[in-house]
Amino acid sequence: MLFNSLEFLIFLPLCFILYWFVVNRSLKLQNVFILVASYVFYGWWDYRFLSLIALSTVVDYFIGDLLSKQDSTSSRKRLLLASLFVNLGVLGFFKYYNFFVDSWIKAWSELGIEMQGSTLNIILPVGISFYTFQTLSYTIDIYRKKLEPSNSLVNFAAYVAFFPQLVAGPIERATNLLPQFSRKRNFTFEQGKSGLYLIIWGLFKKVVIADNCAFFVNQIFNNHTAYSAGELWIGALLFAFQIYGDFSGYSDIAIGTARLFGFDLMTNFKFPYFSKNIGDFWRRWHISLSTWFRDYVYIPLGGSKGSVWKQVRNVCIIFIVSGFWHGANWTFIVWGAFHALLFIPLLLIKRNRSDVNTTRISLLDVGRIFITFVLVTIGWIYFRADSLTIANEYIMSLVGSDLFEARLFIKTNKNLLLFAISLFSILCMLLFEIRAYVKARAEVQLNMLSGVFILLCIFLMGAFKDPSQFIYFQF
Amino acid sequence: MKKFLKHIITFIFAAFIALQLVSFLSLYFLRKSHFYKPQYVANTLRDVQLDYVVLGSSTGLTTLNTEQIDNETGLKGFNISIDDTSLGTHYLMLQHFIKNGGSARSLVLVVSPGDLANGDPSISGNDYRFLPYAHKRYVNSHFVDLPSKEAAILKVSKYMPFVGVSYYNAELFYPSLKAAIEPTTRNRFDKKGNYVYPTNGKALEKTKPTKELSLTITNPYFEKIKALCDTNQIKLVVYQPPIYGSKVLGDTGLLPFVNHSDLITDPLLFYDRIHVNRKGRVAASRAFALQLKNL
Repeated sequence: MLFNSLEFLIFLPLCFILYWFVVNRSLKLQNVFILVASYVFYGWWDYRFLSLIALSTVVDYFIGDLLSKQDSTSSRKRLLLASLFVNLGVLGFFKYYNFFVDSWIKAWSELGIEMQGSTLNIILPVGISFYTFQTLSYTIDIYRKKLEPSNSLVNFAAYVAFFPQLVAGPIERATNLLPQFSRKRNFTFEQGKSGLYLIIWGLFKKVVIADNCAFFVNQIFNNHTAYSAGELWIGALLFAFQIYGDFSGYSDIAIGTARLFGFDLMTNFKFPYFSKNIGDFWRRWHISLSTWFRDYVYIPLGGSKGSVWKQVRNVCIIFIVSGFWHGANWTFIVWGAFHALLFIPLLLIKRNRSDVNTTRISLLDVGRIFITFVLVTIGWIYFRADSLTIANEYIMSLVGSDLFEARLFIKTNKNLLLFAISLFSILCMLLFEIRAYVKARAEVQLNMLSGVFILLCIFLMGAFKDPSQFIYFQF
Repeated sequence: MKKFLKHIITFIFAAFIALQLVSFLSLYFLRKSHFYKPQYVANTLRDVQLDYVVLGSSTGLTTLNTEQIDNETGLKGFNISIDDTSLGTHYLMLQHFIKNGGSARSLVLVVSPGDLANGDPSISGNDYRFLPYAHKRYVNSHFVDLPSKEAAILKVSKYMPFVGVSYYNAELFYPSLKAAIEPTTRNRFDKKGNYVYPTNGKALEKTKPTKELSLTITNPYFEKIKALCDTNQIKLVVYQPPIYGSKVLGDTGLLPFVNHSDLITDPLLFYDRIHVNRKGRVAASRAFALQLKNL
């Protein structure tokens, strides 16, 4: 079920009413209800893959239980490995099997040796990367003795499948979300109101910004050789806003929805395009994933401790793995490596932790924000392109002599209109975000008046006839 | 919770009122304009006695030039065709034309074999252009009859116009802004209702043998159009426009049938396989004008 669908428009109020007015007498009943609602939400897309969520849930629940009862380090390690094997095995099969077979055959063929191998027609289950990482955090934290295992399978299953963030995050840590299933939830006006407005804000970013930008982005990236350097630049910039509107819009709707049910999810995006350097960007972009990798991969590798060489190695690993998490394609790996290359100089001059939590923007900062944004946008070309060859060609064409040609956007009345809508909506978003940024808020806060204005924008500027799927569903 | 529910109801009510108001205004300005064909027909053809009207989809819009036909026959005609439509919409347009005071002696119905053979018609791509008249019974019942998401959206727009205006925001809301400023602007048709494709379309392959297409009428809207013409004493003439490399075989029973499917064989007179270009339109209109005199 998509957040921007009519089904969800019926599903959400219905669940809200049942949750607070029918099953509100018992916490257990509320959790069972959330579990059922979450399975309905996911099953709406493809019920067959519910078995994968159920498998991951059952395996990690029992492994978590066994881990807490084991004192022997070797047994605990074996149990953790079993959890990693099952979860990453399922993820690896569904997401990476074809990639590895293809890459294997291509690598040998480069050496002149023809290898036989067959790829499978595998459908990637929506959200598999998200809930796999979520369940892994549970077993790893129990292994590290940072978390007590859940004593209720229902609570744990509801935590794994919690519908607001099941398919595209935020990737919640068991330490944050799981205890919330054991506590009585009280509805507060402030929480409900902020949830409602966050949903509206998220819808605006998805339906107005992302889906309108997608109209041009798809045309340009599907046939980049037909466009001028100016059009390619605008295409890349529009993709930067498309992916931000799409993904952060989803996160906002997820967080807002969770608030309506009395849950508090972590902030996933904190105005990333106001970042003053790449380190700052990664503290603001997909925070739930970057902190997951930091805590479960980077720090165990040694983090920023040890020799410079080790630090550089760790940074490279973390960015490349993060890129690979996004998809089974070399483009994502290069995207990760590109960010590592941008980050390493900051690490070497020890500026990677600068600008943490600053909200002041000086004139110099404007320049730094601009440079960071341009670099991030160039990185997005690898993220969006279908292959490395296309991405490289695209980037090379950015320096063409036809930099000031952008006829695509004025070619027809429709193009002109959609381009104007895209620019207006991006500007609108940035103005709201600047206001929140300088006030050191974690999110945009709307009130009745601005909420009605944004809702009007959604209805009058939304791309309803050509809605595109959330980009991060494919991950 | 009570406070939240009060807040959410107030919010929804405020948003609903704002959206309804914007949508009402949007449809009002469109209704008063000449922007789309239904508005142009309603605002300019009232009480005008026409000799003939041409009704069809894009082929009707671009094949028969009513200005040229009028010059060659001395008759008075108008093209009420809308591109990207089918017989269902033609029926709606004919009702719209009549209900808004239009009158004609003959109706030239421009058909295609595929549309005539479609026994299960659905909504057409440009039916939303009738949304400013969604409150009229004949328009609403057209949407009620058709099974699709778009038809449902247009149907509920009778009471909640913001639904249709939002869904078709690029096609209705923004044009309405233009219509409010320049109410006489027309969207891709001339003052006689015609549109023409340029002569620099894609070149068609010359070597194709003539394909034979048979005419089968199973589309229920054909009978409805016929009945409406009978009721209003309009003579129905069925016109098959040129199709490149094809010949349509068959007849329309007792109705006059002008079959020009194989009239033009020169690919340079076509914009694409089913649409003639500017030069082709001259040839097709001239040939039709000769026939119209004798009908």
